[in-house]
Amino acid sequence: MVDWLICRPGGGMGECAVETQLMELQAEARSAIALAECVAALQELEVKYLGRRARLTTMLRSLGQMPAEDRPRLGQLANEVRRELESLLEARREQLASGRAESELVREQLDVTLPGIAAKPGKVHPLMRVWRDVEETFVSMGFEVVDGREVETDFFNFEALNVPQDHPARDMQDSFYVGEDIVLRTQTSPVQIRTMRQMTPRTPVRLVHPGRVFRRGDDDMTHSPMFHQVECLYVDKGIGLTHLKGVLLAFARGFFGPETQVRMRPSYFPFTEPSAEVDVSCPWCHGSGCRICRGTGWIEILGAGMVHPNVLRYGGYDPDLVTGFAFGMGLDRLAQMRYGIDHVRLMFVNDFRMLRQI
Amino acid sequence: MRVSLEWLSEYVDVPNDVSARRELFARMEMAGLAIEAIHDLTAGAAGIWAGRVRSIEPHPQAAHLQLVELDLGPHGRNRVVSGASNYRVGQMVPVVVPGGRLPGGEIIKATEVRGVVSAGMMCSPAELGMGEGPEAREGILILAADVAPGADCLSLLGLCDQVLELDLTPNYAVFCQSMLGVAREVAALTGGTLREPAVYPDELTGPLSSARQRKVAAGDAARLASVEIADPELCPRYSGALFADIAVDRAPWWMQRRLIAAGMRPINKIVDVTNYVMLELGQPLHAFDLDELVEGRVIVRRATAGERLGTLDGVERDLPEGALLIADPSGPIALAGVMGGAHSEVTAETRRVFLESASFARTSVRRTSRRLGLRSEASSRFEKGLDPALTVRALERASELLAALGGGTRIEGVIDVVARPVAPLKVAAEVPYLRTLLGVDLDGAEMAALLERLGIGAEVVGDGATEVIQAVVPTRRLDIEGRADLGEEIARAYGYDRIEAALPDGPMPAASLPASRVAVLRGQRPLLAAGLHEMVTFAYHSRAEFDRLRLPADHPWRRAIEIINPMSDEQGVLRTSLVPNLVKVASHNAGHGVLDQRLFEFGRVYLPSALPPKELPEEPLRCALLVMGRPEVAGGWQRPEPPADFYTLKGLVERLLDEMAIWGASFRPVKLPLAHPGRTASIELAGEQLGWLGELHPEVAGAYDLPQRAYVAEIDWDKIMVNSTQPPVFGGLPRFPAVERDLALVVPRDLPAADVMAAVREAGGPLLEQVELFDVYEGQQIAPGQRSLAFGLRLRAPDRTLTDETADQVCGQVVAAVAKLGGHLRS
Repeated sequence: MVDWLICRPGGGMGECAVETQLMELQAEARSAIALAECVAALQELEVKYLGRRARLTTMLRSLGQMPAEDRPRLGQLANEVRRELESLLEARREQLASGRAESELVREQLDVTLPGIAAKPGKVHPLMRVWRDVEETFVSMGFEVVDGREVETDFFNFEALNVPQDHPARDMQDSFYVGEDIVLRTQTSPVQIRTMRQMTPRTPVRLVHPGRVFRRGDDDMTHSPMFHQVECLYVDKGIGLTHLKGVLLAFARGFFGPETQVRMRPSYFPFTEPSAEVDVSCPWCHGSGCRICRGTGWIEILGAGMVHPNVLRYGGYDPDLVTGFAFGMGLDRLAQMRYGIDHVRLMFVNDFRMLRQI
Repeated sequence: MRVSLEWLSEYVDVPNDVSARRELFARMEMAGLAIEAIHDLTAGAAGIWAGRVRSIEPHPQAAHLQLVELDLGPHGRNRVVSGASNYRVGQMVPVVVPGGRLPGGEIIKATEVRGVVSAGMMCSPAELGMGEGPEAREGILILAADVAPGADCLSLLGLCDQVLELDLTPNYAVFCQSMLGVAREVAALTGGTLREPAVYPDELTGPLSSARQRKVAAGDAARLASVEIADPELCPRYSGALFADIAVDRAPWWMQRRLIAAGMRPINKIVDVTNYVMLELGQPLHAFDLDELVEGRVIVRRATAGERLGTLDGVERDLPEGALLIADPSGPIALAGVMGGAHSEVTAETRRVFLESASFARTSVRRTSRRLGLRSEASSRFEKGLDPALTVRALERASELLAALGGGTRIEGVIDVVARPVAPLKVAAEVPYLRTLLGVDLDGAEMAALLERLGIGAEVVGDGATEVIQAVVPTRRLDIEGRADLGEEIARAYGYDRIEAALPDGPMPAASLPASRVAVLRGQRPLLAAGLHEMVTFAYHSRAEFDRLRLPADHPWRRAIEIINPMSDEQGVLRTSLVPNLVKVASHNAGHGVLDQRLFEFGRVYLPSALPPKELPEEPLRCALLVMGRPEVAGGWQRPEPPADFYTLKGLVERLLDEMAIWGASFRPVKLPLAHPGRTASIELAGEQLGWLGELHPEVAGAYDLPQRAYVAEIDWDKIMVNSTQPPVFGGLPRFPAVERDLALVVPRDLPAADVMAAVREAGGPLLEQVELFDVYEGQQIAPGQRSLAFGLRLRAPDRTLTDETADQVCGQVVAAVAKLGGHLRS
C-alpha cells in the first residue's frame, strides 16, 4: 500500500501517473513472462505480479481511496491488465509444459544402459532344488513325505531289510560304523521299517523319504561317501510289479517331462524280490543318444522291486495279506545330470564359481 | 566276471555278426546280466598273416640275427630279420607286415637292422597277447602245419575276441561266476543248445600229446590220502583227487590266452588247470603238494587260539579263532576257500598233488577273508554260494585237462566226503499270489513253462484259486529260497519289459510334507531374499576343526561321535554344529578370491548321550548363517553397500524369527571361544536358548584365512518349530489419531539398549503403541561414559483423541523410569 502511494508523483492526483504505472507494469510483466524458462520461474512471476502483495493487487485493493470519477476507469484498466497477465501466464505455462522434453527433460537424461539396482537373492543349492522337485512330484501323486534319522542301528539298516550279518549284499554297501551295531545309514530304506511299524491305519502305506546316506567305498566323480537318496514305499492289498511300473512312469513323467518312458531290468536287492534296475528315456536327447546317456538313450536312475516278504514281516505285515513295492533313487546323480556337474564332490564343496553358474 | 566270447562259444552259439551280437548283449542286459564294459582284445590289430618259412640265412653283419624269407601267399613274399631261432624251414609262423598293427597297439614299419631291411616281423605269443613269461616272449609262435600261407592270424588264432565285463549282482554271482553258468543263461535267452565242456582241440598250435583218453596211474587215492571233516556246518562236502607225474611247465597258448582274457595270469600247467576249471565251472580248486601233507591226512576244522599260517603271498598270519582251516596232523595248511599255505604249495619239485575241490559255507569264507583282508577269485566265489554238486565234477574235468596237457596223471580213485548232503530245494508258490506279485495275467502252466526254461523243475497242482506251482530248484541256484524268488524267475523269463504299467486302484489321499520340511522351506525364504546362498556340506569333519575353532578340551562341541572306520581324516567325527563346515566353505571360497559371502545351511547335527554311543544319538535340525563383506547387489556402481557387521547378521536373525512367528526373543551378551568376546549374543526365548550369533574370533578367522570379519549364527531349528506361534490376528483399524513424541535420553555407555527400551515400554504403559530407536550418539556433546539414545514414541488411546497433557504425562513417566537407570533427558 505504501509502495503504491509513493509511486504517485508529487502526491497529486495525476491520472496519467497511475495509468502509466499500470502500463509499465504490464509491459514489464509481459516480457518477464515471455522470458520465463521454467514452471518454477512462472510461479515466482505469478506471485510477483498477481500475488497478495503484488502492486496490481494492492492497487485494486486501494481503489477506494481514488477519486470517485477515476475509479471505474482505473478499476477496469487494472482488471484488464490482471486478466491479460493471467492468461499470459497460463499460455506460457502450457508452452513450457509442452516444451519441457526439449529443455528441462533433456538435462535429466540418464544412461539407461547402466545396470539396474537390486539386492541379488540367494540361490537354493542345486541338490536341494532337485530334492524339492522330487518331493513336490510325489506329494502331487498322493505320497506322504516322512522324516527319518541318519544314524541307525544295524538292525534297521541291515537285518530288518533282509541283510543278515555276513550276507554278500553287505559288500554292496560298505558302511561307516560309529558304535557297536550303530552305523551311518547306507540307504534311506530303514525308514520303510520304522514307518511301517507305526502306521495307523495299517494300509495303504504310501510314503516317500528323501534323505542323507553314507557309504564307505569309492570317492570319485560319481561316488561320494555322503550322498542323498529318495525312498518310496507302497504297501497295500493286491500291489504288483505292474503298479511299480505305473507309479514309476507317473513319477518320471512328472519329473522329467510327459514324453518320458521307463524300462525295468532284473536286478538284485536283498530287500526286494523281484528286483529291478530302472531306466528312464534320456530327458536330454529323448532316446536318440547323447553325452549324458552315453549314447544309449536310457539313463539308469533307480533300483526298485517288490518288498521282500521278510521285510514286510519285520515291518509288522503279513506277506500273505499284503504286497508292496519300494524304490530308491540317488538325488545327487539327478542333480549332477540336470546341472552338468561332472564331479559329485563339487556339490559339497559349495564352490561359488560353480554355484554362481547354476 | 570277464567273459571271453571266443571261450563262451565253446558252450553255446555266440553270433559273429556285429548287430546280432549287439542284440544278444541287449537281451543279456534286459535279463539282468549287466554288462559293465565290452573289451575288444584286438581292437585296431591288422596285417598279421600266416607265413611259411622258405629259407633261413645268417645275417651278414650280426651273428645272432637271421634273415628269414617268408611266403605270405596272396600277400607276397617278405624278408624279415629275426633274433629268434626256434623255427625251421617249412614251418608256419605269424608275420606282421609293415603298416600292420599288433594287438597291443604297436604299429610295425619296415626298418633297417644292421644294414638289412626287415619287411615286418615274426610274432611271439606274447606279442599276440596269447601268453606271458619268458617262453611267451623268447620264441616265435609256431602254427599248425596245415595252415594256408596268407591266412589272417587274428581270426585263425581266435584273437579277434571280445571280452564282456559282467557286473554280477549277488544272486547272479551264485550261478553266473563261471563260463558254463553264463553259457546256460545265454542258452536260455537265445533258445540255443548248451554244450558241455570239451577238451580243447589244439590243432592250431600243434596237436596235444594225448586226446580225451585218461591215463590212470596205478595206486589208490583212498590209501594215499584221507579227508576228515570236523565241522560239517562250515564244510558240507570235501572231495579230493591225486595226481602223479606233475609237470610245472607252461600250459598251451590257447589256455594261457583264455586265462589272460579272463583276467588271470598264466603260471604253469597245474595252477593254470585249476584256475581254468574254476573259471569254466565255477568251482575253485586248490592243489597241495601231496608229499608235504603229513600222513596224507587232510582235516577240515576251525582254528584254535594262537594258530599261525604262512600263506602263499608270503605273509605269516595269525589265524582268527574259529576260522575254517585245512590242516594236516602237524597244523594248518590252508585257509579254507581263501588262500593256501606256502609250505604245501606246488613247486618245481612237486611230484604228486592232492587236488582239493570242496564246498565251504559262504558266511565262513566271507568272514575269514574280511577279517584278514584277503580276497581271491576263490573266496569271492565261495562267498556267493556254490553248488555242492560240483566238487567231483570239477575234479574229473581237471583230470581230463591235465591228462590232455601232460600236466599230471590221475591216481585212481576219488576221495569224496559228504558231511551234509544237499538235496534240491522244493518251493511251492500259489499261482494267484504270483499273479498279484507280478501283475501279469499268466496261468500256472505258463508260469511253469517259464521256470522250466531256466532249468527249474515246475509242476502245477490244483486249479483256480488253489493252483500251486511246485518247483524243484537245482542245487546250483542257491539264490532261490522262497516263492518271491520264483516270482522273479518267472518275471525274468517272461520279460520285465512286457510288464504293463498300471496305477494302483483306490482313492488318492491328500499328502503333505513333514513339519520339519515345512519349517525349513519357510525359514529359507527370508534368507534367500536377503541374498544368502544355500549350502550343503558334509555331515562330518576332521577333529582338527575343533582346534582351529579354539575350542577348549571340554567344549561341548567336542563331544562328537567318532567314525570308527573313516576313509580319511575328513571323516573324523559327526558334526555337532553346522558352523565348522560352513566356515570351511567360506575359507575355500575366500581362497579362490570370493571375499564377499553370504551363506546358510539347514542340516542335522548328531548329539550322543554317551561316548562311544550306546544308543542312537539325537539328530536335531539346525540352521546356520554366515555373512562376510558386502552383499551382492546388481547396480553397486551407484550406492556401494557397506560390508556386513554384527547388526547385519542380527537383522537377519530377527527377520528369520519374525518369519517363523517367534515373538519376544531376546539377545544377551555371551562368550564363546570361537567368537569375538564383545560381539556375541545368545538368542533366548522365555529362558530357553534358541541359538547364538556373533563375529568370528579374529584368531579363528585367521586360522581359516578369512580376508575380513565374518559373522556367524547358529539356530536350533527344532526349538524354532516348537515355539513358532500362529501368525498375529488383525485388531481393526485405529479410530483415533496418534501423538508422536521424540525423546533423546542420555544413559550410561554400558547400559544395554535393550534394558532402556524395556524401561521405556514398561513406563509408557498401554498408551505407548510403538517405540523405535532412531539414533544412537556418543561424542563431544555428551559427557564421557554416556551416550544418547533417541526414541520415537507413538502414543494412542483406543477410545479418545489424546491430549498434549496426557502425552506429556506419559513422556514424563518414561523419563522418570530411565532416570532410575541413571539416565536423563538430553537438553
